[in-house]
Amino acid sequence: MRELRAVMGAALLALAAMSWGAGPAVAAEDEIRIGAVWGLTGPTAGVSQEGRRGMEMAQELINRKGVLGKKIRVIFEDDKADPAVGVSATEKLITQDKVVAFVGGVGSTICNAMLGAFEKYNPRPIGVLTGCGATTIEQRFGKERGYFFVHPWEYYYQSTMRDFLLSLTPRPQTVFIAHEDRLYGTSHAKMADEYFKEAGFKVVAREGFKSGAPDLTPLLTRAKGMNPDVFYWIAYGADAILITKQGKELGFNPRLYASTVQLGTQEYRDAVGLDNAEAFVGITVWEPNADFAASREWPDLLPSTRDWVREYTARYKREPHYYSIMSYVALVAAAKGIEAAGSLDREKVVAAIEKINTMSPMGPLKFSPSKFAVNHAFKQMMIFQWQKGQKALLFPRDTATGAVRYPFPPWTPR
Amino acid sequence: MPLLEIESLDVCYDDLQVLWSVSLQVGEGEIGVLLGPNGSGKSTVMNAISGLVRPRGGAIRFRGERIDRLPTHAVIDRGVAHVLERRRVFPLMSVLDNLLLGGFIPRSRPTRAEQLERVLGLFPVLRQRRGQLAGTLSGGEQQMLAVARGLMSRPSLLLVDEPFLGLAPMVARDLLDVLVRLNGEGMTILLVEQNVEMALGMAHRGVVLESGRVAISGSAREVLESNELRQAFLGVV
Amino acid sequence: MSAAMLAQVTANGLSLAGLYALVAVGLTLVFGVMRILNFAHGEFVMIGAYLTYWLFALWGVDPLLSFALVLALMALLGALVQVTLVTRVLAAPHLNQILLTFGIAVTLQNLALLLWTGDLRAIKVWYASTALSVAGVSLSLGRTVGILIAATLTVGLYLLLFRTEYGRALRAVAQDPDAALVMGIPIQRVYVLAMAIGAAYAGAAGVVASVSMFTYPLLGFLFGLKAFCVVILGGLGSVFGAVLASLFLGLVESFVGTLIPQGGSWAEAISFIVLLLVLLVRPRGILGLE
Repeated sequence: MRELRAVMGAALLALAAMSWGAGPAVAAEDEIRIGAVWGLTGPTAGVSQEGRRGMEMAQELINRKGVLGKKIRVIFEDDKADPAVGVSATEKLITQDKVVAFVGGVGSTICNAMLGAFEKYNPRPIGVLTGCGATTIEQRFGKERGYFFVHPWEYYYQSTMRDFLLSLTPRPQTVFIAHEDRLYGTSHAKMADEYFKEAGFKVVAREGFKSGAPDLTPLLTRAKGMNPDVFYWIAYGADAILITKQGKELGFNPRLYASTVQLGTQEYRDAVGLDNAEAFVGITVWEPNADFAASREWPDLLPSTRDWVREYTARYKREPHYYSIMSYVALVAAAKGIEAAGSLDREKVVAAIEKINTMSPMGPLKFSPSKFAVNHAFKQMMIFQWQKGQKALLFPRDTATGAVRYPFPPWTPR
Repeated sequence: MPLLEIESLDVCYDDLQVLWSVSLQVGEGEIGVLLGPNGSGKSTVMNAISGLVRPRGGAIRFRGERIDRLPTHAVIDRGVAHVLERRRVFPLMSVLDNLLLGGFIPRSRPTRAEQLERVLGLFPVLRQRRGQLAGTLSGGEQQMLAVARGLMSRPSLLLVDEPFLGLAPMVARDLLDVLVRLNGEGMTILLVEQNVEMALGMAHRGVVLESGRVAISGSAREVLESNELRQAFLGVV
Repeated sequence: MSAAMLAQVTANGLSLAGLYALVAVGLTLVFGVMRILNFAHGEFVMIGAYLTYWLFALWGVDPLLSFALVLALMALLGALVQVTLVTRVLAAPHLNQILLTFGIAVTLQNLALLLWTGDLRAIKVWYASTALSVAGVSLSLGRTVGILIAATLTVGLYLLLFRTEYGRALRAVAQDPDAALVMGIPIQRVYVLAMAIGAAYAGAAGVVASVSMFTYPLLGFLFGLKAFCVVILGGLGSVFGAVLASLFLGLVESFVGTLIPQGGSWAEAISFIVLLLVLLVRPRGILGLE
């Protein structure tokens, strides 16, 4: 047993050594530093890499002209989807790199921890944040003018999903809700539960599970035993792949498989294959087949959706994810705010970002109050469905690009 | 030429020197015995011969060949067998498996079955116990197994480290008889022993170590009769 | 609960157990022989999964065909790691050994991230998620093949350990390295063999994971902790203890996860509680001997 204790102690030591990360960056006066904390490795790596690409593209385009005669430099840090790692990365960026603002990020658990770390500093860093979707964050931190939230709050998801379920014929009666059991999944699931019940659906279960588990057959077997009309889950990319594969293995055929955003990645489609992804429904903030016009004020940085997607695809040889464009637009907003402020003065920059009102490839870019937050942008959501390897937009009806495939075609025969 | 020749051997464990310029010889067909109080370095000499520890200085020759830089398996392959202190049988393996492992080296494999018969003939009790786990044998049986296992490689030099420790007198007597008999058949033996009278009674040569240095060296008789032995080792004046 | 449900839950548990066993057996073997806890074992699983993935993605080699090749390559990698790195710390304090294998783990993770990005990848072969329906019980063809592989390899290891000269030598080294040395067993070579077998086993788990799940640079984390749990529960160094512990944990997790509300959150905690309870009663694990 003494050996074992030595083993554990050493493992902790090694972990601590890992979290030191890279040494301090060299400060240069001719650059404006922006901090970006993403889960570049770990369960959120897929989405994080999409977000990073968006920011890198924005950085390069912004630096063609520069901001206030300087270059923007984004310093990326890896949070490994671990809030403790995220906090130490945040503190490193504030104290060592002296970043002007934080842009990007994924995951409410991380975002919550990061904002908690912001509170310790005076003045608080400016954030144009893409990772915060939990309403608890909105309630706790929403009053701060310097935090600009560009990710829809969870109630936008759940109200959109509820409205979509209501639009189906025949209307589903029972819903099984599964969620990863940390902050993100749990708070979304709670919200979904309330919204669905209000609308008259019967929620047969609300089950938590460990994200990244190597086996989800217990969850799916349990769900299959309850025979729900809708199997709805809120988790991450790895879980979506496993649920699809093991749902098929178990021959679990609800009338609808629905999830949130993690289902929309190319990574997901490639990992499970077109035929297995078929008829799975997800929620999205934005899709590349959406159609928004170019910004009148800054058409070079905020072109039409079509042009932006073309540029992105040419660069990275892959479709953009909504996290790619969200983080892109977030960085552009921060840069334009700094430019309009004419200095790095915090109050001036915050006021300048608040004044932005323009069109973007992601839709109208303007910060306005949400339920609890002062500054929030992009409130529209869409429902998509995988159809022959493409994401058909189903809902809202006025922007739909396809008709729903419902009920879900059973795994066998397919 | 002696079969085994050790010349000015120095051994250190990290910074602690435990052998200081130890020299000794054992001739072909002889029984040599290493004597000395606990911690005087007897086992370290044995371990240095079989390559379990690396000497810092000096030379060990076997049939005239330097063996002090060879890995243990190469030393064993040249005809040395080492029966370790405290028996060290493989407790979770059968007696038979233990014996077969004694004949692991390629040189001894072709004749392993024959040798097994011979060894079981020397220790009939092991024949009855061949299927039993070695860890369940009595202390005396384990010691016999350890010696028998050492013989399986058909060594020309047998190193035996305190084989009689903790054995009942009857059992020790049997084991002693076997060793004497083996020697009578021509096997050279180097023995580590605490019991001076018994050891020197059967040996041709003796070496007494004290704190890692050779205190007395010579024929068994010379050693037995030396005053230094009485003073230094037996504590008798 | 219906009989079909019971059968289904049991089948799910066995399937998970097969995967756990594949990962844990190599880890416990290496510990048994060298007394080293290889923290890079999970990363060997990850490398095995990527090898399978790339053989499939680049040259269309079916995992069933590439299986033998992946095992051989992983054995080679294990031997290489042993000869160049682990050998140097065999006599060093435990802390150094742990830091070394941990360092290897982090290096392999970052190498994978650099070479292959953080994307999740999976192999799409027709049998990957195909269901076999037997008497109302759905079995994944991919995982069933995985279990068969695990069973075959375990029998193979048994034969190696108990029916061959080198297997006997390997067991001897595990029980008493010094005594094994004076038997003339070239112990360094046995260490290389043990690490090669351990890595090949991890590679086999990687093949199964890449087909029935997915792979990504941190795949090792997913299995690492559970494998240590299995190995400690089964008794450090005991191959058959590891197999028993895998079966036990796989079934416990399956039953808890399916039958108890919020079981998916509890399953892991319960396996740790089971581990603690077993260790309280039997500090050496199920089959651990000292």
